[in-house]
Amino acid sequence: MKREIFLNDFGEMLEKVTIRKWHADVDQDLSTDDSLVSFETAKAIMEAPVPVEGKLVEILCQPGEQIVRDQPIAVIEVA
Amino acid sequence: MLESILLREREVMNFKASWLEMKEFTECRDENTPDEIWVLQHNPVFTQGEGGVTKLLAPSNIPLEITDRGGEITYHGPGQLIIYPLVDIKRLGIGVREFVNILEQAMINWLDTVGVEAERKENAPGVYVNGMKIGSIGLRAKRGSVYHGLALNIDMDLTPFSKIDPCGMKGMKMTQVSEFNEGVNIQGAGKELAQEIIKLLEKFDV
Repeated sequence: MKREIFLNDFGEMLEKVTIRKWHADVDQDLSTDDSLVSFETAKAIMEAPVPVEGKLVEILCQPGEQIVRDQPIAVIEVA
Repeated sequence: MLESILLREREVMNFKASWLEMKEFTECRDENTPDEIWVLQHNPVFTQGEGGVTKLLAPSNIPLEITDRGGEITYHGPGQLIIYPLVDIKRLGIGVREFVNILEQAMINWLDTVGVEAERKENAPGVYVNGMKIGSIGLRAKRGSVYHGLALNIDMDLTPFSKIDPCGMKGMKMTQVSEFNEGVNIQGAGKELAQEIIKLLEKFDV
């Protein structure tokens, strides 16, 4: 089952962030022990962990891009 | 949980040594590791956040370190109080934005005790006096634990700030405690501000 990933999946109510770095590549198997993406908000960079085990199918935004809460950032094929 | 928070008063340190140490601390900690608050000063250094785009406006002999924190370019040097709160905010149920608020509030509260009236500025995290910046924040959160922290100008040489647009804000003027109160000792300030942070965190300790 494919699942879109949103900011809400990282356990914090964030309205808007700037993507800084992806820590995984498309087609990579993901473990919840790993970091998925870093983003910045209010002078803080959050290195967010993989929210659900599976395979990274698609990355929907690039470093430097601003993302809002209801915008999907990636797609994971859930294991 | 907060009873065991460890306050570590450290000497004047090179930025890179303290950065590597707090990064390692955060990578190695687990759910039982007590939080630590480090109080120190840095030898002169410019530091740049991971996503920072601003540069030095003029050549300088002071080194520049590109780091993994949030925020833009800033300057650290002796006479500026550095506090690194190495806190598992997930364990305390605090979000990262809320933690930035706590650090700002702690600086505002402590500045008030030495007769300096400071405030926040909308959309520009940090602490300001009469529109001039006195306290800066830059953090990184990994698996719910934060490192890096705050810098509060106490009694320092502010001239290196003229080589940059502090925090990426063009023409931002910097100020310091000694311009309003000359009787503040940086060691005492460090201890008091760290205690203020702990006091604000206690509200979240369950």
